Amino acid sequence: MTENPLFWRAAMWAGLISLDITGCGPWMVSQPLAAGPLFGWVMGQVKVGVVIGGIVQLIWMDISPVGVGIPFDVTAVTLLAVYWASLQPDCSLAHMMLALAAAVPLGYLFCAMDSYARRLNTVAVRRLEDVPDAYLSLSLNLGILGGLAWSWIRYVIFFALLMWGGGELWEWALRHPLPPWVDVGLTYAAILLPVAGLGVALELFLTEDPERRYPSLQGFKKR
Amino acid sequence: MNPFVALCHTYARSFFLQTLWNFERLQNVGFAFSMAPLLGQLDHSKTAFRKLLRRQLLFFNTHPYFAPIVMGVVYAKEKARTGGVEDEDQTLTVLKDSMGGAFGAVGDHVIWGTWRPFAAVVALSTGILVAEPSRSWQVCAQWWVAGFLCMFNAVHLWLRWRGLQKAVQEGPGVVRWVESLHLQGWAAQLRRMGLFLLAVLVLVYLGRSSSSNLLLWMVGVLLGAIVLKRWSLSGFAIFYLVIAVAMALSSFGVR
Repeated sequence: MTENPLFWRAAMWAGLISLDITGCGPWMVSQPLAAGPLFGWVMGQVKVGVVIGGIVQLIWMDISPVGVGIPFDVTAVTLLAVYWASLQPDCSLAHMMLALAAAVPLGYLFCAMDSYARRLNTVAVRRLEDVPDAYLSLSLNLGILGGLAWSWIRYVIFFALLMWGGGELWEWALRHPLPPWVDVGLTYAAILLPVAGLGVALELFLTEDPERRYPSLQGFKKR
Repeated sequence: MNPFVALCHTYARSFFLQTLWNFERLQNVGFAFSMAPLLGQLDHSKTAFRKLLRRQLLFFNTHPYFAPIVMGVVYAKEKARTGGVEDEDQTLTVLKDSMGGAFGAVGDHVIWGTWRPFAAVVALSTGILVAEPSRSWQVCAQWWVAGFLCMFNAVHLWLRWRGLQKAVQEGPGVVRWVESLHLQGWAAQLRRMGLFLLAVLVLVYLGRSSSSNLLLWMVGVLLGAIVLKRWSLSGFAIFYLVIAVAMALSSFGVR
């Protein structure tokens, strides 16, 4: 793992971008539209970031952290897909779509990770609340600082593991060329997915009822 | 600490509202952490300040951009209290909870449901149209990132700062200021403008297609996505469905 420090560097940047979700902000840097191109710059392939970020933003335009629900993690999907696709110099549209198709299920994994992290937060907060009054102010400061560090570290570890593991699989897959019909099919997907995304966005703007705006809050709720 | 500096500190700290988000009391730690500089402005003994700070650790949840308004209201109410500051004011707790709930609903609808998608659509369209002549990915990326973040955060940062300022000055009367913003009306207007921009974007995108066969499928996918979304199908399912359609087109030799 130490032979290729690229995934560590990428994971650290990915962790920093992901802090925007709950750590500090939210400034919307974690939205695929911003995270994709930014991470593409980090990886040296802006085109990959623009294509993947744009598609994810459109398809999951309605994803919002409403109430106590934890939404599907579109930031993780974008960052992982951009990372894997960028491993190939001058990545083709077909390979970008392949990387994206591989990254999409991991949005649920990050969602679950976030849910468990928040449970751990609950334990930490109980401890924090138990401190004597004289130390409360200091505990709050340390709690927030610790919370930020803990969020960043868990994101970096998760991203590093998936970037490394996925990267190994990806490099193995690249040694076997795609059958022509799959290659053409994935290129078609790169043309059709933005259209589907525009349809999703149109539906969102056509909907007047606010309650209907969050049908895809498929994430984890308090159990 | 100077009152203005304390206000700035609370404003800066409010960005960490959700850092220790937990399932039991949600944003309580972030709320207490943000409130500390403002509460330090009240002319209380150390013991009273500490008790006051601990009371901020009760359950709290709202939209993060509207939280500074609630913070300002709590501060104004605590400032106006006379005598017995060490005891909990039940009416203030109820006020805080009800304001949190109401602003949470407004924020979800106006900010998450309207302003963010609108800013994203504006940035997407501008980036694609500006980069069209040069076909430069770099230009497109710059417009997407800078355009989206500047546009979205201009409103975000203003709402947080002005809301906090107004709430500190006016206390619970700040709701009149929020009403005067006509946020629901703006949301309706933005949705109409967003629809127009999206329609332009659809025409530009479809106009680029060089194959009439594929154009037909693109229109089909567009209408299909609208219908499927209306039926509450998730983005996940739509994503893989489109990939399956693309694979089918390829294997049937559609060009």
